[in-house]
Amino acid sequence: MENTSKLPAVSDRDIFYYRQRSKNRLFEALTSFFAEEAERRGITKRDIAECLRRDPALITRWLTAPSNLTLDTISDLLLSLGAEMDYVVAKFEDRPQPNEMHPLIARLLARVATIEPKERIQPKKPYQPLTQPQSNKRVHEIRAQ
Amino acid sequence: MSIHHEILDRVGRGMLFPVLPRARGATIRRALFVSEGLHAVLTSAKGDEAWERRVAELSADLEVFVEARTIDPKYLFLLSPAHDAVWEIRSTRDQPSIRVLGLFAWKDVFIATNHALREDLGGWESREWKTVKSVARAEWRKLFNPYQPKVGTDPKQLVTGALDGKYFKTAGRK
Repeated sequence: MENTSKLPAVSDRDIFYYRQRSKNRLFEALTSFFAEEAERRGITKRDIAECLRRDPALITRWLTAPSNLTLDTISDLLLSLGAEMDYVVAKFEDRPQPNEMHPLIARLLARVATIEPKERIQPKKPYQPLTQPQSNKRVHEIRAQ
Repeated sequence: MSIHHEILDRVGRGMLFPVLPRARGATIRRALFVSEGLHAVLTSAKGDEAWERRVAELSADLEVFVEARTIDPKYLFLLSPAHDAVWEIRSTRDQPSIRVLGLFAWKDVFIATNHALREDLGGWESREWKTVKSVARAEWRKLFNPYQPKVGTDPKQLVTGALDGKYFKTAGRK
């Protein structure tokens, strides 16, 4: 289907990537906040469960994987800890550069930036997909290689 | 030469690939390098929707190591025996569940050597697990011999921001 939108088309991979990234970041924010509160106030998952009148196993489940969270459960968890989410929308164009970078990666990127493309050592066997993947079976195929 | 020089050399030779966040401006707190096989998956040709979804989720999950302020034991886990120093990153968010195996070259520098579908591995003492752990060690030797990976069971010695928790399954407890 031709894209007639004023906005550039977004690939499926980008869509799924940003969905997962969003879940992972939210999950990290929650688990690290819970860890801080556990250390600072000695709060346990059982305390949260009793506060919310829920099964402790459910709280454990919520804090096990990003996919177990919903907007409602996030609100419940934070409410029990006396907090709520605070949202800020960040435009990509407003953050062109990372504000922190691991020194090894910084060295690597600096090195790449100073080498002309033709001078870079090329991989012995650059990756070339064998076929257009037709299904999720490609995971098995690549693993078997 | 330090192992940092070796890593940069392997990257230059196309034997290792740094995982850099796709999202612009994302913080790079730790360094993660993947082998050719995993890089091939992450940069594979466009496939069907299930393939695109799984590759994208794996990519986002690997970036957690690079970007997240904290790391918890549900994400990063030391495989037994601990002296082999093989760790796994768990991408369990969607089916199929994927395990990415690797070793620490230095604190906050992880070399992802190989990966496997969790459903193919069976119980934690299975032959399949032993095989993928052997592959991880062999890949490390191929890349960095005679350098040894960082060995230890205390995640705080290996990862900045490691949350308290159980990162290692002790023998006898399944």
